[in-house]
Amino acid sequence: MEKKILIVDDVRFNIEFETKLIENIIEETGISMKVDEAHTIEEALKVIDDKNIYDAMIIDMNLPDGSGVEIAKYAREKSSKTRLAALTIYPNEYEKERGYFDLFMKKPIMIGPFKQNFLRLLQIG
Amino acid sequence: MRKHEVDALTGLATYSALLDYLEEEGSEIRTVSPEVLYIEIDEPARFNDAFGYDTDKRILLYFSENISTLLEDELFVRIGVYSFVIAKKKPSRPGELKLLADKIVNQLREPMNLEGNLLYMTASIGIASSVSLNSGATLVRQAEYAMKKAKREGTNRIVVCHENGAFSFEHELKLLRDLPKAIENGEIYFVYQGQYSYTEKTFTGAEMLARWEHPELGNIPPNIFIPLAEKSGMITPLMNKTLIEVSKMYRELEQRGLQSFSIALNLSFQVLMEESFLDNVRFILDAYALKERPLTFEIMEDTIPDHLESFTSRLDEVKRLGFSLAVDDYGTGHTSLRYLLHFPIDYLKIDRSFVHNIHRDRRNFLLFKSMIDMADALGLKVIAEGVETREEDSVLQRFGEIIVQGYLYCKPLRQEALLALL
Repeated sequence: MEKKILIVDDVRFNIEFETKLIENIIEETGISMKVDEAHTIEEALKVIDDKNIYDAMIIDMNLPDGSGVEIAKYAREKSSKTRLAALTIYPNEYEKERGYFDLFMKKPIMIGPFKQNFLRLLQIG
Repeated sequence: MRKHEVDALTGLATYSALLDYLEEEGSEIRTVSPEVLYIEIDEPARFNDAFGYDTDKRILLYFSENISTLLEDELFVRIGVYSFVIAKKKPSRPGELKLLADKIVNQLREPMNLEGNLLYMTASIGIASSVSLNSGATLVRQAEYAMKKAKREGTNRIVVCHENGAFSFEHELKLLRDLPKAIENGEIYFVYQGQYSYTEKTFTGAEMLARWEHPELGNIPPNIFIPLAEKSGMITPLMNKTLIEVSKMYRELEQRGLQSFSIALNLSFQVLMEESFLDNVRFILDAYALKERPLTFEIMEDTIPDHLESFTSRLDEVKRLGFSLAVDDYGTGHTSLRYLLHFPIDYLKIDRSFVHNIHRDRRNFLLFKSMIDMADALGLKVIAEGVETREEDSVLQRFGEIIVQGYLYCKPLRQEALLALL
């Protein structure tokens, strides 16, 4: 089964970098995945409505129209099965929001740790 | 005043006494406005092998007794194993401790007579004064920070920390915190300085340099933020970003038919030796189509170890990935010439100090010439850095097949500006 992934980030560089890392993981694991992207909370909520259920999301916490937590809350209401990762420079500032996410990933993105965390997010390996 | 412990070896006061002295009861430190001098002796234990295991202790004792003879009413404290602090409340004029620091450095230049053995000691000194700081501990830390800066600059150096200067201790903390964001949001950006080939009569490459435009502190020089990035582990994401950026530059160059234009990046020893370095580079090479591109890594000479097997094999692996290697700031380091034979190097970048006034500085001319001869003999290509005047340029042209980099030909430019020039 193809895994559906959503990346939410307003920085184009990050989306591109994450997508390429996921492509690399696809190559290494042979698991097929499809990556969608959104750049704001508004866009993210819309694709979540349109595209049924995502297997996993990587959500930047600092978005132009608010906090990534809003997306996590919305995604949780839609499906309890979607695995959610927060991406942030300052994980310590989101102690209260930890419960909405399965995983916190640190920025700037490091190649090795990102790949490892992503597999954990998908509960692979 | 409270009773304080005394250092067992030297009989000097210790840190708690220093804090008491700086933070006079009932008054803020700024009303006392003390100056603090922080001095650290460079590894006295290195003499232990030759002169016995307590040599470092005897050196410390000798040193502290000698310093004491230079003092008047300052407080002299042993604060760490090899470090001391001298504090003066209300100096009669600002910068008084700088004069004392000069005296200490002069004394260090004389050999230390340790029971008939003459030893040369070196140290680093940092000085901080209080204008707006409100705690003695902060003042001491600031002096320590200045001392570390002095240590990076060489031996027997003095650095005076100016509170309002851009790089105080507080600023460093701020920069450390802001660095991850700056890598992501484009505050750290890249410029290119063209490298001109005399034989091809055109720019054949460029060095890519990182710049940081901080929203509050303004332009932060790379010699400040690169060491911070190394210290905080941010150097790896910065390197990744640099490589990705350069892959985009190559695409632009390709569109203009400039496939052979080479780009050089600075690579720190720390990044090179990092466990994940090769995996990271391989990933970016594949993902961002960076294979087969004419890319050179420049390694600063003074970071090159004399001989280190793991370093050599790392360089070999970098070469196998298809990159070239350059020694940056050649002629300023202290490494042996042997490494030129052992390390798989392609370019020597001769330091700007040898190019400066080469038209009238006979010694620079001779040194430069001998470096060219040696590079020729070893089959290395030469890049001369810091070419700034026509006079320097006309001398360098006589050396024929070299490449030159400097303001006379091209200052560091944004990507679009460099592309427009080509």
